[in-house]
Amino acid sequence: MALPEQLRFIAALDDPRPALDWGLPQWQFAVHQARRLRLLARLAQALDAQGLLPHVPELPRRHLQAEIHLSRWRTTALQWTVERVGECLAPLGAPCLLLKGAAYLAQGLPNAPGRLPSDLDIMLPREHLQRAVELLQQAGWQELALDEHDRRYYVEWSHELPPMHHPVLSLELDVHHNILPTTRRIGVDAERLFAASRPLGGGPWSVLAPEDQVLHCAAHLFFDAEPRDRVRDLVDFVVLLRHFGLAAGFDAALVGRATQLGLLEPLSLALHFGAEWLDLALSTTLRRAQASGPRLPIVRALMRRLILPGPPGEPPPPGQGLAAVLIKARYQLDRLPLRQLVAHALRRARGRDHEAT
Amino acid sequence: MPDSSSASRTALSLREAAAPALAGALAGEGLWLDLGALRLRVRSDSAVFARQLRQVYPLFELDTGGGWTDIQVRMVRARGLRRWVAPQVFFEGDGERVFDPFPGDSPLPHFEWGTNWLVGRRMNHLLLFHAGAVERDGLALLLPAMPGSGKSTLTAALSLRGWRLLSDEFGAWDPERGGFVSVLKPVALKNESIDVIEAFAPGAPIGPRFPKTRKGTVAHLAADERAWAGRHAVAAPGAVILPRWQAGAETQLVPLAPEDVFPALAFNAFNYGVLGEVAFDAALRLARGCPAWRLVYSRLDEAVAALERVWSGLGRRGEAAAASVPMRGLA
Amino acid sequence: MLELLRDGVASVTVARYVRRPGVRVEAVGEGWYAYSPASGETLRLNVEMAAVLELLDVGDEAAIAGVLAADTGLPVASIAASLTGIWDQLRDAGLIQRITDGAVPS
Repeated sequence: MALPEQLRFIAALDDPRPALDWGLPQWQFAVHQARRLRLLARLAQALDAQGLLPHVPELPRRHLQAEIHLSRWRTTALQWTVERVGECLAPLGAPCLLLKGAAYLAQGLPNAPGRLPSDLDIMLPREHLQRAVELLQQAGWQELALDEHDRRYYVEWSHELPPMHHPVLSLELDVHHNILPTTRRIGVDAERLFAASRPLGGGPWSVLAPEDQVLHCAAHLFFDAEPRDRVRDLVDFVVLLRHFGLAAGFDAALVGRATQLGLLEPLSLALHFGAEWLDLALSTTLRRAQASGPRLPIVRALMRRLILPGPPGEPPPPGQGLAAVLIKARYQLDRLPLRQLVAHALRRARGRDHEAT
Repeated sequence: MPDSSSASRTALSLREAAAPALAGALAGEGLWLDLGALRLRVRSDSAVFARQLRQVYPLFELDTGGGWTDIQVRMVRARGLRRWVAPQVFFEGDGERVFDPFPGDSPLPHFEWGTNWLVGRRMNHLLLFHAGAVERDGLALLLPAMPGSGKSTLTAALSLRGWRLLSDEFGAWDPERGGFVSVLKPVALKNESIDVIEAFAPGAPIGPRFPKTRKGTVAHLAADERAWAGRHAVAAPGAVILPRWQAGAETQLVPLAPEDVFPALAFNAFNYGVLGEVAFDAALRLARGCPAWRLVYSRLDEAVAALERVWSGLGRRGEAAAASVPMRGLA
Repeated sequence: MLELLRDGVASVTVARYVRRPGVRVEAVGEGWYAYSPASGETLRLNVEMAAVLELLDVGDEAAIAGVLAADTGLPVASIAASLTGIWDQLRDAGLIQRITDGAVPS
C-alpha cells in the first residue's frame, strides 16, 4: 500500500522545503486537504520555523498565515486555561495529568507547534474526582446540562466526566479518570498510569510516561477520535514515537507496556499505518508487534476506510459511517447492550449535527 | 491562472453573458467570483439562484477558467420530497452544511449570509472589523457596525455618490500591507433602508426583495464599476465614523476621542482575538491615527454631504505617527 | 507570606507582583489599553489600574498603597480598599503575576 494520493502532502510536515516547488494546483489541494485534517497550521509552522514563508506564493501564503494566527490564538487559550485550572486544583494534593495536546505543549515536543486545541483534557484519580469538581465549580466551571440518558452514560460507562465550561475561559475542560472507557473488554489500569507519570515541575501538573503517551495516542486514535482527526492523530503518533524512540530500549519498553495494559492491538494498528503511509521506520521489535493479532486484515481494512479522507470540499465518503459503527461495536459491544449503544450513537450524531462550529 | 488585474476588461460580465451560460457554469465546474481580497468558487444546481446571482453581481466577470480558490460554496437543492414540496436549498461551505436550509425561492440571501460567515472563518490573515468600508482619494472611511447605526444604509448611499465600496460588512485590514482591502459583494439592505435608498438614488441597481427572512425584508444593491475596478487596491487609513440614525435629528458631527475609537474598532471585530498582538497594534494605530466622529442624522443626503466636507478637510494628509497628539475633529 | 484577609479590614499585605513578560500597556488619547500575551486579552485600564501597573517596581501591595497615598494626600486605608479588587482583576487578565519568595516566576 503506497501513500494514498490524498495524504502525499504530509511529507512536507517533516521537511517543508519541497513545498516551495509546488505549483498552485498542488498548493490548492494541500491547503484544502490539510485544513480539513487540521494539519494546515503545522505545515505553516514548519515553513515559518525555517523562515520559508516569504517564499510561498501569496495566494496560498494568506491561508498559512491565517492558520498561524488561529493556532497561536488557540494555543494561548489552552496554556492560559492550563495555568488557571492548575491554580484551581493545586489544593487537591493529587497527581493531575495533562493529556494529549496540552501535554505535548507543556513538554515542548516536536508536535507542539501548529496545534489547534479546542479543549483541555486532564486526568485525575477517580477517588479525587468529586473534590476536584467542587474546586472547579468554585472557580466558575460548570458541567454541561445533560439529559438523564447522557448523564448516566458518562457516569457508568465513560472514562470521563461530562465536559465543563467556563464563562470567561473559552476552552472546554474534559476531566478523565482513565484513558479509555472502564467498562470495555480491554480495561486499562489507571493506577499503573498514575504510578508511572512524571511531574512537570512548578505546579500540580504531571504527564504520562513516554510509553503511555505513545499508547494513549494510538488508543485514542482507534477508539475515541473524530474521523476527521484520525490522520492528525496518526501524525502525532509517528512524531511521538520518533521522538521518544531515540532513548535506548524504548521500543522494547513500549511493547512490554502495551502488553501489560492490553493495548497491543491499537499499537499494532498504529505501527502498521504509520509505516505504510508516513514512512515510519520500524525496528525489529516494533515490526514483530505490528504483525501480531488475529483478524487483523479485516480490522486494518475497516481502519483504512475510516481514516482516509475523501476529496476536499466534498462530504465524507460513503461507507465511512458504517465502518465507524463496526469498529466501535468491536470494542464496546460486549459491555454495552446493542440497543443502548445504538441509542447513544444516534444521540451523539444528532447533537453533532446541531452544533454550529 | 487568470490574470487578476483590474486594468482592462476582456471577459464578459455576468450581465453581458447569456443566462444559460451562467446557469450552465454554476451547474458544472462553477463560477469564480473575485471579491478582491479573495476568490470565491460557487456552484449550484438551482436555476433560481443563477438568476438572482446575475441580478446582484452584474459587473463581476464570468470567470469559469478555474484557478485559485480561497473558499468554495455550493448552493444545493434539497433531495427527495423537498425537491418538489416546499423546495429548499442548502448552503455548503467548503463541503460542509452548517446551516438549516432556506426556501428554494430565496437562495440569494442565504448565499450572502453564508458566504460572509465563511469569510469570517477563513480569511484570518486579515483583521476583519465589523464595519462598512468605502474609499475616497485613496483614504478609507470605516463605519463600525453598532446596533441602530444604519451603517449599511450609509455605506450604500456613499457608494452611490462616488465613494468606492470595499464592503458593507467587513472593514478588512491587511496587517502586511497596512491598509484596507475589498471583500466586494452587494450591499445588504433591510426593511425601510430599501425604500430609503431607492428614494435616494432612483434607478439604483437593487436586486429582488426577499420578504420573510429572519432579518425581515432584505434586498441587495449591486456594486458599481468603480468598486469592481478598484477591488485590488489598498486603501490607507482615513477616518472612522460611528453613525446613528435618529428620527427627526439634525445632522451632527461630534468628535470622538481616540480612547473611544479603540473599543469601537477592537471590540467590534469578527476576529480581533484571533490576531492577538497584531490586532492590538492595528487597533492602536487606527485609534491614534484616524480622526473620528459620531454622526447623528435623519436625512441621508445631509449625512453624505457632511462626510464629503470631512473628506475635503482631510485632504491627502499622511497618517499621524503612533505616539502623536490625537486628532480631534476639524479646525 | 501572609494572605490579604478578607474581613473588610485593611491588613498587612506582602504580596509582590511583577508584570508578566510581553505585556503591553499603551496610552490612547486620554485612556490606556493593555494587552496580555498570556491570556490573549485586551483590557481597558481605568486610572487606578494604570497607576498600579506603573508602580509595580516600588514594592509590595502595601508599599504601592503608601506611594499613592502620598501622591494623592488620601489616607492609606482608603487607597488600599479601592485597590483591593484591582490586584485580582490584573491577575485574571494575565497582566501581572505574583512573586513568591523573591523569585520571579517564569
